[in-house]
Parts: sequence; C-alpha cells; structure tokens
Amino acid sequence: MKYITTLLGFLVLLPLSANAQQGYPLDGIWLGDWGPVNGERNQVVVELVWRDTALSGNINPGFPDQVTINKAMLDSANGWKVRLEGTGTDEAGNTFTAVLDGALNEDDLGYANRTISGTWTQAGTSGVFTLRRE
Amino acid sequence: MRLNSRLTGISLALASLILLLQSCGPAAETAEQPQELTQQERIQGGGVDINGLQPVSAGSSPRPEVIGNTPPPRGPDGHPILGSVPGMIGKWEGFGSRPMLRLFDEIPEGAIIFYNDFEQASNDPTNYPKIRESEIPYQPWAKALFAARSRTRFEPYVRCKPSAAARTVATAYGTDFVEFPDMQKIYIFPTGGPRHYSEIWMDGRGHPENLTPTYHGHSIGHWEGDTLVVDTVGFNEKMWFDSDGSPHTDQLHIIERYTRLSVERLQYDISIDDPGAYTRPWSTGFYMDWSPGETFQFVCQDENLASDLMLGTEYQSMDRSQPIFP
Repeated sequence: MKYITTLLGFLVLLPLSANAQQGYPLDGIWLGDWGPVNGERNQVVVELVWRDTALSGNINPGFPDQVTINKAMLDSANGWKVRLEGTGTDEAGNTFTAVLDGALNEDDLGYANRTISGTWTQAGTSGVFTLRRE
Repeated sequence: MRLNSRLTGISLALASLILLLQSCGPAAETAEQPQELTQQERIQGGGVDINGLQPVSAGSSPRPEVIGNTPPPRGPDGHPILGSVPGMIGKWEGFGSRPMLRLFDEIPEGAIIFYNDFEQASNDPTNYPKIRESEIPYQPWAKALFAARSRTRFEPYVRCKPSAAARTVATAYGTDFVEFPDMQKIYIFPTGGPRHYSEIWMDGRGHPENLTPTYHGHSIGHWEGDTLVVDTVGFNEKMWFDSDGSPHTDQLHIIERYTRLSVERLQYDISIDDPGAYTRPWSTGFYMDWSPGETFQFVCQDENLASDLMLGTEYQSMDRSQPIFP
C-alpha cells in the first residue's frame, strides 16, 4: 500500500519532468508492470534519459529496489528491439541484475505514449512486461 | 499496405490532375485574382494536396511566373522589411520542391510522403539547392524514425499542434512578418495552424539558462547586412520543425536566415544542430514567393480537414482516446 501511495505521489510529479514527447523513442518516463502472465504483477517506473548518443536511466528510481541501467540497446533497423540491463541491491545488501528484452510497438511508435513489451528477468525470476510512456 | 497503395493511387491521380491544371492555366493570373473565394473554397483550394494530406496552398500554390527583381521595401534603419507594408499587403507562400527540406535521392520504404522527381527538382534553377536525403547525418534511430514517419505521416501540425522553424514559415495560406522597432521584436504570423505565432527578440539579449522546452523555443535575432539571422533553442519534442518528419530532441538548436531578395522572393536558410539526433549539423532551405492580398482568419481547431484527408475510413479502428494524438 505504501508502495502504491508513493508511486501515485510520483505520478503527480510527472508533468513537471516529462517534457520530452517525440524525440528519441526511449527517452521519457515509462510506467507498467512485469511478472508471470497470470500471476502477481510488479508495478514499475522506468526513467530513461537520452543525451547526445547515450541512454541512461533507472528502474524504480528512489525505491529500495532501484535498478541502475548500465547497458542499453535500441536496434532501430530490426524491429525497434530494446534491451536494457541494470543492477540493484536488495534490502539484504545482495546485488541483483535486471534484464529487459523487448521491442517498441511499431503501431504506436508515433504516439507520445508508445509502448514496449517483452520479457523481464530479475534476480533469477522471469516474466513478461509492458511499459507505456507517460 | 492497402492504405499505402490506395494513397499512392490517389496521389498519382491528383498529381496528374493538378499538374495538368497548372500547365493549362496562367499561374500569374491566378495569383492576382481578387480574393473573393468563400472560406470553404479557400480551405479546399484547388482540391486536396497531391499528397492527399493538406490543402493545396500548404506550400504548393502555383508559383508566380514572374519572380521579379523589384528591390524590397526598407525600414528607417535601412534593413529590408520582411513582411507587408502599406500599399503592399501580402504573405509568403510555397517552399519549392517537395519534401520541404530535402531532395529525395533515396526514398524510405513504404513512404506516402509526396516528393518531386529528384532529377527535375535538382536541375530546376528556381528551386533552392536543398540537401539530399542521403546527405542528412542521421543517427541510426533518427533515420529509422524518419522512415517510420514517412509511412504514417502523423504530423502534429495537421492535428492543430503548433510547429516551429521551417514549418511555421512554410504553413498553409501564407505567412507574414511584423516588426515592432520600439519593442525590438519581430513576430512571425503563419495563417495555417492553431493561430499561433513566433516571437524573435531583437534587443541583444541571450538565451536564458534552464529554459523550459516549448513549441517555438526561445528566439533571438540580429541583422547581418540584409539578412535577418534568428537563433533558437529550447524546443520541446512535441512539434515537427518541418513537414517532412525530421526527428529531433530537446537538444535541438536552429539558426534561420531570412533574406528578402526582392519584393517577390524570400530566401529561407536553416541550419539544424542536434547532437541527440544527428552526427553533425546540416543545412538546407527553400525559396518563398510573395502572394499579394490579405490573408484570412483560419483556426485549425475548427477548420482542419487534415484528419479526414489523412485517415479517411481506413483507420476508424484507431484508438482516438490517446491523450496526445499523436
């Protein structure tokens, strides 16, 4: 509940920071969830920033399970495939990795609130994810 | 694919028809006829654009046969007046060959954007020597996004979003410039679009730090001889700066140069520097022609035909609940 309240608070602040709309396709704030198809879903916020020729960002910035993205790939020549890799530290102090393998949906590529979907692997658990850009 | 084929067919048919009409009628006479058209006729122009996307006057008005060398009017300080003056009311129209900022020596696969024949546009001495598509230094993602935009043509402008730079100047129904010397500002008033305008500060100020990105950005200008040089930063990513679909990021920095070569002709040069989308700056431009006569009050939100022209019935299943479309 506290997590959702914090997430809602974060959403209220979004208009202050979400200026980018239609430039680099991955730039922006993305909201969504991941997990087993019919199981419990994990809500996530992904913040990605494009500068010159480099993408940086975080998953769930400011939360205990924050993941810092340290490797990003967008293959615009082959179906707009996306791969994001990052590392975080759990509450016990153990380092874990998160890997997102997916693709931008070409049907809504022109929208500001375009979508990415694919598979999400984190700390040994895999699932599917969908992110929508805010 | 079916839509592309259909649009291509319509485009070819309309292109043939319009070229036929243009070759049969004296264009200069058309330009000089009194502005007695009804509003609907003005919107429709001679029919839809050969691209099927915009009214004809959105940059493809018949070019006056006589470009002329009448010296431009000048203000008290000696520099040319870019817009209307008493006794000479009008607006700038056209941008030469299509697309707006480039010559298509290579065409994105599946593109529905209309383009003039490359050889013809290249060899036309009245056409600005625009950059070739193959010369534009895209980053890979930007090249792919330009191709995607060429296939869908979801231009914000045709959904009544403000546009910037070249798209502001080369709008439907013409553009006028108004200078306020006491205020040290110049305004650019496009007729087409959501009844917006650009403002250029001429008082020697610089760009503010920490700009909030906006549709028009922050523009400062100065005169270099007879050329107005406008430097703009602080653009948001919601607009397109041309009608072609050139991608950009909020790092975009544009320098425009306006030179009124004569009463009848304006040279527009633009340099695009965006390290987030291109590997180096690039430059291009177009010529515009003076179209005598007053403009009229156009409000895109009320009178926009583009969505119907563009979408027809093919995209009825499209989700129109999107908060920002596109």
